[in-house]
Amino acid sequence: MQLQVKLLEKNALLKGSQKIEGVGLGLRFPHFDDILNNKTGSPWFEVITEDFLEEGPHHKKLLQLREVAPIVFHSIGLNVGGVQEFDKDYLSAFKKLYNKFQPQYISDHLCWSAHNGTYHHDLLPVPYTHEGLSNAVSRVNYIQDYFSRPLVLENITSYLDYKNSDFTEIEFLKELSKKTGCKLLLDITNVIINHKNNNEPTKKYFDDFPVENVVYCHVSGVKATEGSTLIIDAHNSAYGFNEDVLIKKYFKNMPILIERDANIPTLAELEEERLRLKEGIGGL
Amino acid sequence: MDYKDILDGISEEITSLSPEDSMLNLRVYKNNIFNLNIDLFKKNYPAVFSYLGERNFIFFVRKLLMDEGVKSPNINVFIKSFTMFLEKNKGMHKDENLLELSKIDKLWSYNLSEVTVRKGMFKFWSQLIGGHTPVAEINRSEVEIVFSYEVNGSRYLSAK
Ligand SMILES: [Fe+2]
Repeated sequence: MQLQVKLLEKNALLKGSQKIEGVGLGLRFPHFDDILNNKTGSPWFEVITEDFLEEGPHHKKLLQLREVAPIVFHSIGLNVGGVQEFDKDYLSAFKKLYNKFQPQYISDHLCWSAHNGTYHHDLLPVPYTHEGLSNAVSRVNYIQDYFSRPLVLENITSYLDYKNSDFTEIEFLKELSKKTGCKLLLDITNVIINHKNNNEPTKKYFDDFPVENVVYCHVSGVKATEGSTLIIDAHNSAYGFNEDVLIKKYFKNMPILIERDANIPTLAELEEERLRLKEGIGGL
Repeated sequence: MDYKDILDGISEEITSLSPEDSMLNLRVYKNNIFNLNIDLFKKNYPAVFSYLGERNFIFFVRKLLMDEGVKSPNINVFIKSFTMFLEKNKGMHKDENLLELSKIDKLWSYNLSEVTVRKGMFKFWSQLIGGHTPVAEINRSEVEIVFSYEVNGSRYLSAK
């Protein structure tokens, strides 16, 4: 293990230490060997932190990957918008992973996912109230102090309509990043889904979004809900809402990540989608 | 209503896992949570799934969710607890094969080193994984140790 860490340090001066840029892919286990055998041109990868909480041969493979490509950690368990105490074991395991693999960013979602000791493992929207904001500010600060680095927060899809909000989502995100210094991960498809589900145009949202705080973007495929008109962020197909046009207009030169979590195709198919997006936004 | 009260209400509702009587929008979350769990259990307990069939498999996963709930941010902790749950509920299912298949599945899915089962179980498990109807004979009075090993970076299971 010591040898691997040394190797990582040495090679970190090379490709693995470069900043993320261009169109990257999410690291999914069925593709791991193909990725290590250079079967994608993806210049960087997003790694789901929770996939690595357990030790195993995949740790060795990720160290190998780190030698040649930058990564970011993307999590679902920090429960930033929740109120229950942080799980100390989870945070400490997360920090160990952070030290071992040195991702460029650590990100999670502006959501709550656990309550009264039960972990829902789903992303629930935060009520955009003053109380919600001060709760999120103190929890983001806690996490940032713990990791000694800014947290990156992603906008989610919402299927709940809270009454009596004090802020819009954008106002909430702006205030939160102003008060904590956190960065943002903009999921372009999530914005489109939320607006389509509410029959609203997206223009104002994208015009107003604080692009200066965004460090990278997500795009993904969606699915319709059985028996209703609701669109779900299923991440089970190729992106298909002309996200490339929006990226060109609003987020030129921003690193973009294609998310795929279900109905996972071959790496070759994902690579095709990656190249299509790359071309669509002007060949970053 | 304060912030915590709002979360209390939603959390309680989505944990109940009864989609029929809930608002459409909360149903989205309930379905997400339920489907996520079913998919992960299927992936990590393939022989149990094949042995039980979809309907019975869902029954057990639902019971585990309702009885125990997910108490860790690491969902693998919950998925791994399936064997313990089957052990605890042996009085209900009365099926030693089910319990031992889950142990071998867990060994395989979570890179564990070995498990002890009744002799013949490993063959029984292999036949299920291979998509065959299991015909292996289980010897009730002898045991075998199923263990994992690695060759050229690939993992294998065997029994001794
Ligand atoms: Fe996303």
